[in-house]
Amino acid sequence: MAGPPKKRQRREDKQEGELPQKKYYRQRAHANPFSDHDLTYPSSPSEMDWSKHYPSFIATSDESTTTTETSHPKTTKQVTIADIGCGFGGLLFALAPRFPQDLILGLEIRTSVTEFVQDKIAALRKQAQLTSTTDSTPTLTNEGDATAPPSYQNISCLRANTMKFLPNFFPRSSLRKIFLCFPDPHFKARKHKARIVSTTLNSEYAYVLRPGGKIYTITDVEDLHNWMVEHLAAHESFERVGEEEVEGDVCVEVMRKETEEGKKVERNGGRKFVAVFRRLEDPPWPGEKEG
Amino acid sequence: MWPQNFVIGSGKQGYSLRAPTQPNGKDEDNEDSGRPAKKQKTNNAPSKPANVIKLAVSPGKRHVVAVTDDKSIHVFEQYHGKLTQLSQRAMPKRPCAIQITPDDTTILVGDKFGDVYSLPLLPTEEGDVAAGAPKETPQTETQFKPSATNLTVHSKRNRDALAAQMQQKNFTPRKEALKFEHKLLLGHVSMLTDMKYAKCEKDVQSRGYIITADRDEHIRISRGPPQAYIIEGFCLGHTEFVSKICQVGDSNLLVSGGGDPWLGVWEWWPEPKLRRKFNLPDKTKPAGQPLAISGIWSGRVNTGSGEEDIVVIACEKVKALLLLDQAALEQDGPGICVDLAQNPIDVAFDGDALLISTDSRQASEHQRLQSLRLSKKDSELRAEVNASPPALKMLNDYTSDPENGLADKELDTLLYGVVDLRKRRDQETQEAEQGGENGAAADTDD
Repeated sequence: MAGPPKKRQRREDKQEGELPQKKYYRQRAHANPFSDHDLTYPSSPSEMDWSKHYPSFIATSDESTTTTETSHPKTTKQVTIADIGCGFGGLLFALAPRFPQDLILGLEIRTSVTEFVQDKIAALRKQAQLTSTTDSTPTLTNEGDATAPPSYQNISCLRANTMKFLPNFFPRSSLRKIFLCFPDPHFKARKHKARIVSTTLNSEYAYVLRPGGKIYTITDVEDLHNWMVEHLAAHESFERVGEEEVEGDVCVEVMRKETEEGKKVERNGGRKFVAVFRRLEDPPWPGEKEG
Repeated sequence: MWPQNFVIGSGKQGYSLRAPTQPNGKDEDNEDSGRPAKKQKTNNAPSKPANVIKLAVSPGKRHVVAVTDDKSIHVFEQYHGKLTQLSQRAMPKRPCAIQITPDDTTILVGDKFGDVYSLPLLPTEEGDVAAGAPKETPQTETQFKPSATNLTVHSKRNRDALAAQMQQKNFTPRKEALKFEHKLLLGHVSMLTDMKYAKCEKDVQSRGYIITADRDEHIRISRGPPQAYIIEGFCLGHTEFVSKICQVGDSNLLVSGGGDPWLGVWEWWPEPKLRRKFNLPDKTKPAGQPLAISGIWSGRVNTGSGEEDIVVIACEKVKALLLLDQAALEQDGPGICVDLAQNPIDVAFDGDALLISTDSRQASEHQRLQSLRLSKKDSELRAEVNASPPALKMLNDYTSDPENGLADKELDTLLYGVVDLRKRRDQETQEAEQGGENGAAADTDD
């Protein structure tokens, strides 16, 4: 195995705050979601230590309720936006300044690619710190206001197999947006269960999404687009968002233009298919009245 | 023959069965409707009878459902101790858990692929036709159309593969859909290990839930049909596979176990919460192999000082049972360990006694079933060997045809498979991780 260690060494050959180079982080584009892998994940959301991911959001001792038995420091916010299969993180970096009030998490199953995103976040944070000490200190701005230079403190990335372990990270109704950008199309019919959207898996997305929250999908494979639309539409917890609302959504624009795959498809002259679904309120139990 | 699974039917008779019929053929007429029972093709060679791997009795005690290791679900009608097969349906994946809903109409099946299906207990012709059962739909050859295009694949190898697919003229769809009425209720992207239908009383209403456990440490609480697509919560905390879950009576307590050296006692409703981690006593841990909980059962027993739900736990290849009373479940009681001469395989409650089927290869032939009488003295649980009740003697005296017997090794895989659920965390995924790192299939975007 001469390849990887060399690559790994090259990764470290850079100045502090210098952006990592993708060529040292290449990895096979596919991973088997059914295999066990050697994953690290919390046994439940309360076991998850988010303070390492969002250090500038650590709660001070009087803010956090110290009565709980968990030992790790608490954060003042919880993750509300998840980019499932974030790849090289294009969407994350674009969302960071647009949703400064949200903690955004990229989840990626490939180790090297995850490391790239983590290294890039670290570098961007360092850069932002360096500029902010010379300039005036930027403060967190309102949602959508991109005038202040981004601090990239609100984005992070971790390695996970979300098809198995999504509920280990996120409590019920905690997310307001889920992104599924250019997922593995798994062309073979035999592999369709490995697709990121399926009727049964959609129940887990509905579980972590709060009512009114949205799930965003984009792909360049029309067949997969139809599949995702069909399966999300068939799920009673979701309704499709109308075209007008979709076109007016800043997230859709970002998803089209700023994802790495989005750019690649653009270069190759491919088409991009977008669908957005809204999480509905759960109906009352059969035979029971609302409330 | 060794009973692997047994239940108490109506009356006080226990039934044990294996290989109810040959996989294909010997269907008996259902006298009620006059139509022959459903025939389902199975892949197995007729020479080898299938083994029963799961058994369930309908709450009304009229029907018995058996799962055989050829993935078939057999429904029998029980009448005065005689079983008549009514239907046989082949599932796409091997069922791992089965239960009949309290209204006696629906079979819930969890399978190895992580999915839970519902099937009508008694299939109707209309339902099956609607599901695509008719004989005269010829398999049409459809024009094959690859879903990838030159715009979506870029590497040389993928382009070559696409070109080859374009060359391919026709494409016969593989038979995929099940030809009988069924509904996919929910699914895990993990191997399902156990599934239970549980009820709880909310005000005056009664709510039904489906509780599922998987190899990836999850216990999921979903609403029962018709809202099984709604997940109500998870009981999370296990760090190894969960192999068995068991509702304590009709309470909001759930006991779970698997590869962890403790049992989870959960309040599964209304908000899932771990109530107690019950550390397994050393006596219930196996010596030669990793720990694996192979059974958790619950039953209501009159202990002489009132009725009480008792939970019984078995670990794979351990010649003992662990018994938990309310004090152990709800407070910090220790429970009791009962030593057995052989490995317990299955347990059923029979009044205030426990019926235990054991691996009789480890003892004399007439010991495959035994009974323990449960009682309480000074609020301490006791279990004493029960002098053979008649049903027990009958079953212990029954001798099976040695011709149909399985070899030791086959029986071992049939009876002791739980330990294989354990993940091998060290050597795994090396190939998946490293394989393509500098290989030809590496990402090509820049």
